[in-house]
Amino acid sequence: MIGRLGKRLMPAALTTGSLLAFVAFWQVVSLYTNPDFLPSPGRVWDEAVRLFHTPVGGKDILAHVGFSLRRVLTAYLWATVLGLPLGLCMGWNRTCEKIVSPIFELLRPIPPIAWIPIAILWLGVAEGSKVFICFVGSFVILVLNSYTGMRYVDPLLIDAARSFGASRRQQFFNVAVPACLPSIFAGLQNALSMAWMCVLAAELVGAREGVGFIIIQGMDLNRPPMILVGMILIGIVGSLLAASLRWAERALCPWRRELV
Amino acid sequence: MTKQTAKIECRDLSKAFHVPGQDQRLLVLDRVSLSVRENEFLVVLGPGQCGKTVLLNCIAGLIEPSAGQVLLGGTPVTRPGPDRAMVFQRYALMPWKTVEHNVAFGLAVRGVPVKERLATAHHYIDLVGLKGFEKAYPEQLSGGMKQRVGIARAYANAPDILLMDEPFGALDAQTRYAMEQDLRSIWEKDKRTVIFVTNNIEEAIYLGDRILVMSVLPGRVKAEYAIDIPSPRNYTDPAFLTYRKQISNATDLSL
Repeated sequence: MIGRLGKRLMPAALTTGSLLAFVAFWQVVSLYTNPDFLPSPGRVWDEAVRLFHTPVGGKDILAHVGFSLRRVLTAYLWATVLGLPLGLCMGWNRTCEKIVSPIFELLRPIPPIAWIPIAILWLGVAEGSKVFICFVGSFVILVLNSYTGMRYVDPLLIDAARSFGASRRQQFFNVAVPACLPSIFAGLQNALSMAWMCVLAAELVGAREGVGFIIIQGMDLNRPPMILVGMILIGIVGSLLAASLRWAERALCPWRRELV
Repeated sequence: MTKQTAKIECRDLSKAFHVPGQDQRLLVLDRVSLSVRENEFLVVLGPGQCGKTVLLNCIAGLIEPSAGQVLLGGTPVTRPGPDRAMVFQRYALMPWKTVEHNVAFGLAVRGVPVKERLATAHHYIDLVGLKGFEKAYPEQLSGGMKQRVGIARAYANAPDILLMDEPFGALDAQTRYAMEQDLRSIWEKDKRTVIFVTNNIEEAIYLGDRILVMSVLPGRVKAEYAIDIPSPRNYTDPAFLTYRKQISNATDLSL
């Protein structure tokens, strides 16, 4: 009884332990460094509490997180709606691949951040350019993952479907797409973290709200704890987003055996 | 000749493939002719790379022969159809579908309503001895069990013809004997016209009403044996061993 309970609590204990150890390590290091370089966890905590009560740039901290999230999710949604079908078609249809992939190969190595100047020129410093940057980042990843996923579908499965008389349409929707669901999910996962990273980069260049703005404010006001609060918020929100997608994958791909 | 009652007939079937980096096309099947009676169990026996899979794919309509034709009940084959079902060496089960939905796949493709197709699936899951595993995923099954799913899937689509491409080739010897016995008894309960491809002489004699022996590339039909042993067959029966000796002597199966 105790043994089984212990087994259930073990992972939670390990996670808490490792987080506590990290904070403890941070505390120790901060004791021996200039507090202007590395504020202690306590000071960062106080700063976080302060920010919850006093607005920065006219908005409280949750509103700033909300602004960033809205940009990310808008971009992510568009990237999914456009990128997934495009990648799947590239993997499925040779003509489509030959037409799209040269352009894509050319655009692919350009980091999303490199799009910032031109995006601002085209769309202004308001929402448009920030959403655009996030879109570029996640779109590329989604296309690539669904494309490679489709290319690695076992042709034997398609043969099996054909031998049962499945139409081309049925082969695509009933066999090929479910077969590459795992790589689609890997793509969704990576694309979301990419979008979240891009929103920060976009917000560091001229924003009046968002988590990136908090970090820039911290820098301008010379308040290291404020910068760290911003960074930690990024980490927390990012990992929550990833966790919710992992949960969705488990629910939608129950046949997958996991290593951990 | 029993030409009138031939269920499957191949006439001078040839297939050549283009091999990258070679000018000459590789001839895989060389004027193969054969005919199979209704509800006959025909075994095509040959070493690795004798074009037996290609032969089966031609009959399935998955690939087009370079010359000659395949006739089913007199009509030429141009594409796959529900009158034929394949069992693959590497199982080819859909990993995201449970056993019952894998078995019902062919029916789903044809738009049979869910309830009806699952009922049919359950019947055949039962027949292949997998009762209780309806909701399992292929990943959770052993090789032999996966191939049972493959056989049930083929049967469930109610084909006249079963095309089996070394279905037990990936199984261990023990499981293989069990599967051969079960396949033979399933077939005796629910007869279909079968073409079964293998490289194993014992398996061929145990299962087949008739055995066609093929040569190494380019694949040709080299010899034909009618196996006249009543069921249930026994691997150590004197008649069985006589066939075995006879066929081994006549073939270059070094495996």
